[in-house]
Amino acid sequence: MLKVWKRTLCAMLVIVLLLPGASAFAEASETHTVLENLVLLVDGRQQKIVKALHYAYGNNRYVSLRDLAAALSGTDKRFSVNITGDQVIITTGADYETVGGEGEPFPNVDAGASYTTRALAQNAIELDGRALRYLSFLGVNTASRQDCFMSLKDLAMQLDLDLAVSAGDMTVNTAGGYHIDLEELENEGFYFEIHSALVGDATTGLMYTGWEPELSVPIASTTKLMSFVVIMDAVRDGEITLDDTVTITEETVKLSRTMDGVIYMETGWEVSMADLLCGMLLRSSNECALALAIHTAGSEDAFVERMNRKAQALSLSDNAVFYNCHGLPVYTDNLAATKIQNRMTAHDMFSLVCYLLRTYPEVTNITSLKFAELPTLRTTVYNTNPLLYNLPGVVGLKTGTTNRSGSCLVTAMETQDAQGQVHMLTSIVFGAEDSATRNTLSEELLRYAMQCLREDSFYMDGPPRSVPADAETLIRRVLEGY
Amino acid sequence: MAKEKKSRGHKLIVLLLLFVILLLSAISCALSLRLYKRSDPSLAGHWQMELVLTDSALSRAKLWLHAAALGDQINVETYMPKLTAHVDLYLDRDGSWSRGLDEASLDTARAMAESALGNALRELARLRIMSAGRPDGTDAELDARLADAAGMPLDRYFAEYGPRLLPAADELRAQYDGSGSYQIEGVHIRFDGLDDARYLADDALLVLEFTDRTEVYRRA
Repeated sequence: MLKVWKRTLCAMLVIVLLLPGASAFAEASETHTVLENLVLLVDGRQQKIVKALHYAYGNNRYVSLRDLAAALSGTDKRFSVNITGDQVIITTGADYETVGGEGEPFPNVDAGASYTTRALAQNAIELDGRALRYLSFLGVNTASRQDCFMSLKDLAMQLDLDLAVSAGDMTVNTAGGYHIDLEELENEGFYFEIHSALVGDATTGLMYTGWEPELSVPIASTTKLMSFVVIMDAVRDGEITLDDTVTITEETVKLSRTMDGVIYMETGWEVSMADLLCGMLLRSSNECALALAIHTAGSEDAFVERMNRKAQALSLSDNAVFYNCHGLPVYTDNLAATKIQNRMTAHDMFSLVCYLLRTYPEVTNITSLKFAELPTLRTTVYNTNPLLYNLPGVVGLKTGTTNRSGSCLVTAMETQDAQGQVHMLTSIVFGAEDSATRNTLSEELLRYAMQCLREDSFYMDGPPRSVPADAETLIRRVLEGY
Repeated sequence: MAKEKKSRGHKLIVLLLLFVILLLSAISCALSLRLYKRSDPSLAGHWQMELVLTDSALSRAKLWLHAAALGDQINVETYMPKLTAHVDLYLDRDGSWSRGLDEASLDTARAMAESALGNALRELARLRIMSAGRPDGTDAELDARLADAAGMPLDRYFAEYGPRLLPAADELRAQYDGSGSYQIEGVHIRFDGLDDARYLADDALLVLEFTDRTEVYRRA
């Protein structure tokens, strides 16, 4: 009898414990956000209502695509929106067809009314035939028509809007385009969510701006750019060839079986160099990096020695230190056994990227792929870099994330100046709080770089002018003086 | 009487033998002294060693330039002349020696190295200016821009803030400066205050073979 009571009590306890979780799960498919009715002033004349959702924090605005499209209708910045199921199609320069609910404010906002959408997600949004990778909300507007809410910043960048927001009001100047006032952004804490950043022109070596560029930070999988350089040096020196077949070792298989493993492998597999390089750079496969390191230098230790020597040869700072070929945290070999990670500064990474793009430009043949089939690895890999979708001209290069490093991204974008000369603009973001921040910041910095190239001017704040410490700094100053 | 004569004869022979032995010892002693002599007048004089510093200057210049974008496209070798400094060695007849760095020669080498680096830097600057689509200018204009960027004339920039292309005078002095006594033992010179060395010499050349290096001196 006692056993029965015990069983019943346990069962009731389990139900009580599970119930809140179940309801939370049910609620996860719906998101309640703070509502706002922004007043949009178009060219100083027309006033339109654009509904906005504040997600998670204040001023993190996601605005209604339909409201904005309707507000800009008939202007040079007009665009059409078609939403079918989960697919959102935006076409710039096309007239918007109203469906109802556009420009109607959220009711009872001041009374704390709520509005339900689907969860924030990377929905299928296409702009002028190009698939975008931004977070957005899908929901219905006040007339129960499907609507999409996108981040105001993302929209301004993609639609090239000269947009300003202040205390619930928005102004748009349709004659202008998206313009970045970096000094203003810096003063407003643009960089506070990251460890360091830098953007410049890898073709000329000119650095446009940066944030803590000399700060030594863990770099996670962006390490693999250095690994690629060392591998290609070995190819150049005739030690290995790109046609080699690599035999997968037990050590590599062991890594692929851990939680840091990305691609399944078996000992003794014969894998092509091409597949391993794609796996390493597109999918950020640690086991591919290890297999390549062992094939190149005989052991990972020997390969890492080459990485550190290369850092010295490239005159990177003393802060550029490598412990492994892939960027994962490792434990020190002593009693304290603390975690250490590959480190360098944003400035170091820029120097490395300048060298990489100059010496081995073929790297972008891999890093610009959105996906690749790897027959000898029996898998297909997809590029982890979202900017390939969001910014035309992006050709790579590498993402990286660990708990300690935060979200990191090194991006290269091919563009032309007014004389038609090709420039590889490069942005480096280390230590972002999350991938969304990293992606937005990287895109913003690259757009700033394009602006600098176009306007031939840039903002550089920093310590008072000092004697240039190296050839690069000296020549940069010469270029700045033009 | 006969016995006394015989005895006297024996004593004479012994004395003669002793004399011969003494004479031979004296000759042997004199010969040994001649071999282990304190100094050799033919080695005495002023000798000079040439330190070739080109390779180290070249590698440091390349490293400094290559750190800059497009720096590896500059052929630094075409600018760098042969760079040498001198070390003077004095061996006196009285058995004393002194050696020292000729600092003037090092200064000359340094100036030549910095001039070479400056010319290579100018080439790199032109390349970068062209790549950036900026207008090219005259040499004087470029020099003015470089000086403006450095905040001082280029030669002063290299002298005070540029890469260290050659070893410092202090380093070389610590390595080569010294004095003391020396003596020659067969084919070895034993220096007081320096390692012992095996030597080979003729009128114009003195080669000192130390355990870890060989130094070649020419008659100055």
